[in-house]
Amino acid sequence: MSSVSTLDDVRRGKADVNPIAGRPGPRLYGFLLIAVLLLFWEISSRLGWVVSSYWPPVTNILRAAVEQLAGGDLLNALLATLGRAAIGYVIGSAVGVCLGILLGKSRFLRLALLPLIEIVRPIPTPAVIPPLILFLGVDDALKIFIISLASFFPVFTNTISGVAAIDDTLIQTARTFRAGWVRTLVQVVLPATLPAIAAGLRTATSLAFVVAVLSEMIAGSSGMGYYLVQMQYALRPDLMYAAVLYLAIIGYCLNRAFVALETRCLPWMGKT
Amino acid sequence: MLAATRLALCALLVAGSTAHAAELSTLRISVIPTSVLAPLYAAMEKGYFKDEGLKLELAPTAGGAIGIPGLVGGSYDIAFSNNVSALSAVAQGIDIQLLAPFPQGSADETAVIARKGEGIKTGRDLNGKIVASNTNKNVIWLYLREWIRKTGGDPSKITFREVAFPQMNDALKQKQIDAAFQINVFVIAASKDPALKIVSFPYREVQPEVQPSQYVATRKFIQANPDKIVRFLRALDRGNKWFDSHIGTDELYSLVAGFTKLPVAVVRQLKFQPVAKKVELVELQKTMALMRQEGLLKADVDAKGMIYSPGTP
Repeated sequence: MSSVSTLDDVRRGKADVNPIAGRPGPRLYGFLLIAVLLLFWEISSRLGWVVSSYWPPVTNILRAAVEQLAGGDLLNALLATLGRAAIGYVIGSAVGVCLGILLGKSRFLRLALLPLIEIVRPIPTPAVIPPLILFLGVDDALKIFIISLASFFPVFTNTISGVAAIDDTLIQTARTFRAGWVRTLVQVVLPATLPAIAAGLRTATSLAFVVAVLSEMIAGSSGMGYYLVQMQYALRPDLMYAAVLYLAIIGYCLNRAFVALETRCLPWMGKT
Repeated sequence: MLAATRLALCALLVAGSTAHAAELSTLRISVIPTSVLAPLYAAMEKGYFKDEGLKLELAPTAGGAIGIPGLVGGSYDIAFSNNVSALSAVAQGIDIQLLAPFPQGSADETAVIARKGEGIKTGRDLNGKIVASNTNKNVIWLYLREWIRKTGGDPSKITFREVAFPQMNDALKQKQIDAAFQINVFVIAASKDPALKIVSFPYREVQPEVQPSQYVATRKFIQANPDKIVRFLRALDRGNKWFDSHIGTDELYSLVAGFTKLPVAVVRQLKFQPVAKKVELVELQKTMALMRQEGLLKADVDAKGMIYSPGTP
């Protein structure tokens, strides 16, 4: 018998669930660590502990990063990558959720499709690009397809496990109320699976981003991946690291935004 | 009468300009934006392609993996490719032709670099050591091995490693490799580095007139668009002539700095040489022979048939 939280618990939200993370103080420790590491980098570069054209002082990188804000190739590249990543993510996640629920509920579909999905899953992105070029060309279609593929798997896996883990009591209750399969799906299955789906979606967010950049490095003519390689060959390591910095910041913000979204929309997450 | 003439003239002008605008056909070209592409970019900037009714869509790529597969898949019409990939493709039944050469000068720009003070001067000094090229079995790797042989070394006694060009200098300094075959931009950086030195220029010693890269297209595309190819080559030729006449000028330096994103100071140190007059069969055959020696090709291919000339099927 599952315990039901009171509405008050739900309204209090995140601070109750995780009192430590709620206070601003401890989070600063994380940033402090990053700052210390960056300081090490700066010192090692300035004092010559590491001598390489690809180890510029952090201050050079920050300067280049700020200069690009005034309008430069970096921002255009970032927008291109984000656009492709977003489209691929949406497509991959949508298909992942649909197939996850379908295969979760239908044994026949599971037997038919699961082997194919499991075989495709371990194929690494760089290996899959050359044959895809023949079918999809080298433009956005190729990259969006690869990003969708990468986003699909974590969402699909989590969804199908989420569906399998639904407390049977919930399904039986719906049946007691004579709910049709559509109503059961929308009002019972989906909400019960949402925490698992959300976890899959969160994994897929960073994955989509990484794969977008990777595909641009291998087969790209625009976007951050291409920009990174271009700056390597153009002897501009400061811009290259500035690009990495932007990627890191965006990735971090996306993750925090997702967590905030989860807390607001799925207050029952983490509670049975 | 005068009004009628004026009207007729206007009509002609409008018709002429719309006809011209309608005639701009597109050519998609896959390129790796290195300095040898200067003639192409010059021709684009000066409007030579537009004069021929062509609109070029350049698809820059950082890696060579795209070139020929992209051609075959129809994503591009023309690609920047190296001769080893082209010969391999033909050997595998992919019918491509070499359209035009690039500026000469690889012989003087790509060099083997090593750490100073270790006495590495010849291939023999490299026996038992680790040497890097950017990709195994490509043109760089091929000529590196031949240079080692020619200077008394034995490639079978050497470990070959793949290291990307931007990382070669660092890998050398970290002693992860003992020598590397580097390209121009990074050779310049190495020559300024107190820890590194230039050992030799393999192309110069093995095949001074080698032509490592060409513009390529599939025979199918060439046969379906003979006029477009002729116009492309004509405009490119004008770009080549502009390039030749502007070697050493600031205009050329800023053009190259623009599309490579290199700092102008570095561009000034690149050695530019005039464009080769045509794709040379003799040089291609020499490369083919090297490939056979290394087992990259099992049999000779029709090198002569690979070189494009207008009017041939």
